[in-house]
Amino acid sequence: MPLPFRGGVAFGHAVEHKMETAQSKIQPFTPAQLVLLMRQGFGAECVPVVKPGDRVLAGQVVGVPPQGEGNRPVFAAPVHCGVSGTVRAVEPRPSATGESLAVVVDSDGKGEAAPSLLTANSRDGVRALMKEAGLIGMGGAGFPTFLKYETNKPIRYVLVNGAECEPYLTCDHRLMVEQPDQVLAGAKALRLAADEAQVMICVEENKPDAIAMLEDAVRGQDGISVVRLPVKYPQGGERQLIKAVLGREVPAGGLPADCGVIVTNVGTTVALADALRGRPLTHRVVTVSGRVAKPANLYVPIGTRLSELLEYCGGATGDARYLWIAGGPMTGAALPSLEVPVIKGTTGLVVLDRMENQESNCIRCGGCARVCPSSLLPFAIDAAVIGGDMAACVDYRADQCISCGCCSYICPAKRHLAHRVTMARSAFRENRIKRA
Amino acid sequence: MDVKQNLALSAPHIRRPRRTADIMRDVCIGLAPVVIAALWFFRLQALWLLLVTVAACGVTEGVCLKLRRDGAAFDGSAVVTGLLLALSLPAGTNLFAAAVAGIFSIAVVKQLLGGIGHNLLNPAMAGRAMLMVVWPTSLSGYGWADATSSATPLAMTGEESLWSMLWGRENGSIGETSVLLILLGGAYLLATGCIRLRVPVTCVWSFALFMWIFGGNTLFTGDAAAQLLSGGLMLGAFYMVTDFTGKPTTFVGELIYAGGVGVITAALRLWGPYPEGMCFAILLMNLATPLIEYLTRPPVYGTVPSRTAAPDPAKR
Repeated sequence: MPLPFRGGVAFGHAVEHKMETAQSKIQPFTPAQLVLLMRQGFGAECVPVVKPGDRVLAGQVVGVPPQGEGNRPVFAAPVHCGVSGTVRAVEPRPSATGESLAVVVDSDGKGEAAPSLLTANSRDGVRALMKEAGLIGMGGAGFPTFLKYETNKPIRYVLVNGAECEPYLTCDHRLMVEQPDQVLAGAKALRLAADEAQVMICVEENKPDAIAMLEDAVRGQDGISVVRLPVKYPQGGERQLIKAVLGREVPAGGLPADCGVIVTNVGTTVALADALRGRPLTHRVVTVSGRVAKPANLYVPIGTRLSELLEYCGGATGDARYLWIAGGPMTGAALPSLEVPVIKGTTGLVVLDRMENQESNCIRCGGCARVCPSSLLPFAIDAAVIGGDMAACVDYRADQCISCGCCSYICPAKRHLAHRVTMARSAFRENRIKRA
Repeated sequence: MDVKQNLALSAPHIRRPRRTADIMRDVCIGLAPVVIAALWFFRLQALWLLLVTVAACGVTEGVCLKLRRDGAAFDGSAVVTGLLLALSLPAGTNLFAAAVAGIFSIAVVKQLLGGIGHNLLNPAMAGRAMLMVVWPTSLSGYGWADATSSATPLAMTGEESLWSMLWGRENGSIGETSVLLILLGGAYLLATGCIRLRVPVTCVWSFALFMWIFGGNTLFTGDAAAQLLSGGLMLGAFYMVTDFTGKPTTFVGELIYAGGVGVITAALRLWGPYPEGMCFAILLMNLATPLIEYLTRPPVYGTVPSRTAAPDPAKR
């Protein structure tokens, strides 16, 4: 039985809203134009290697990571194009968090493929393939996968993260139900890349069909197992997942590898299985849900604009003021516009009604402290941020916030706790980098 | 740090619907059995007392919120303060004094320090303590006669059984009548998540333990059960020690705080100048809350060496 992690929230079905799409088969959708952002996630912006007018093929590299300084690793992976066609422009385009240089490709609809990747069957081969195929964390954080595996720390466990604890999202759930063999193939490759570490595929109990499919798939496999977890948000946060499954904590300021673990999202695992068949990461599954006419799980090329996804799903329902969210409602970013394209870490497009939350005084109920999975006192950090007391933020370990949003969710005074604690964390980290 | 940036668009984008006003409504519902008991035993005396304190607190809160001009809305917490104040006063309390205590509770103890959540002391208890200190004669109504000179004010007469104390009787303040109804209201607060069981339980057992040890003529002979069921202990344990603002938010802090209130209440009952110790015990522990909370912060994830087990090199 897995050990619980501290804090967190049990939403219940009414809040989770997973029913809308939990049975929706993954459908393919290909738009006429792709907007391939050069900044696909955490880390550096890639450098375009094509220019307007160039012809590109499906699977061709259009952006490469920039040159690093000295021995420092570059936090980026190459970007591939998912269709064949012509480069229309290389220009800045809006992203979920601002702006990024982008390669805009008009599809010719032929889907002519570039030569496939060389497959690998050795530890270093798989690690190189991860980099070549452009794999980054597809659960939202976007940490380059090859960097996790290129560690000199001894790795005992690889956790394949199928918790999918965010409300509304079912893209990972559908992948596990529809492609358990792909999950297994990816898991085997992860085991190889991590020097025969124990691989555990971790799924929350609210996905019994996925658990059944995976248990069938892994039967008789050496070193690969399925772990059933009780339903609690933020179980899919890698630090909480490690605590829940293995009972150990990632040291503050460290990475999971520092306690002998690597966590890889189940979507990334399937993408690795695709890479083993020669296909780089060019597509992903996106859940479109919330206030939409026809909620769905869509298999789309990276670079598909969210406006086209929404249109394909029948548009938003009702006439309220909408909030568009890339990802889930707990950690996803509210979008400035729907012209933002799908990137490798886009788990969903969730349409919600805009809510007005008038903040009132903290009543010291302690709810935020009880739900904080990092055992922080969010109300105290909130007060310190408002008072401009950086020393107190440091004292209260604001750096250990994982931005899960549980504190704001629970707060009866509707305070923007997660927002301010996250601000304190960022300020704390910048200060530390400056000092170093 | 720019505090105001993009607040409306920051994650999370869903919130639990429960608001401060909902909690206050639930506390009022939880107080209903105690209020009904007070009305049953003291009739019009209790009714007037309740009306006066609730009105005084409510009107004062309304005026203060208007003066604040920061958009703070009426959340019902003043009604809770008014109810608790009335329930902690003896029947026959001078109504004018009760109104003054209500105004003092809200205006001075709560709003001058920044309103709900910013008060250091429990407003109802501070209002009552103010009367006890500066206007003790206002409290000398029925059941509170000659409070300061009586040597064993809470001692029972022989006929009075524990059962009658449990069901209810006219004694002390109007909210202290029926322990059973206090437990009923407390159960509602527990069920709605307004209070945590560990707080009243810790308060009660620490009080009982202290009374048992020191409450008799020799050590370990005190009548803890009778002491538990008399006076304001049960009322305080469920409705006042559990007050959010005055207690620490941390798990260990809550235990220390509630235990402290229990022990100080017992000590004040045994050796203090006043017949009842709950009020001052709560105020004393209120003052200690910031320090207790700071010292009992839970260990942050990833900062305890024994929990961040290093990988086992033997396996490789």
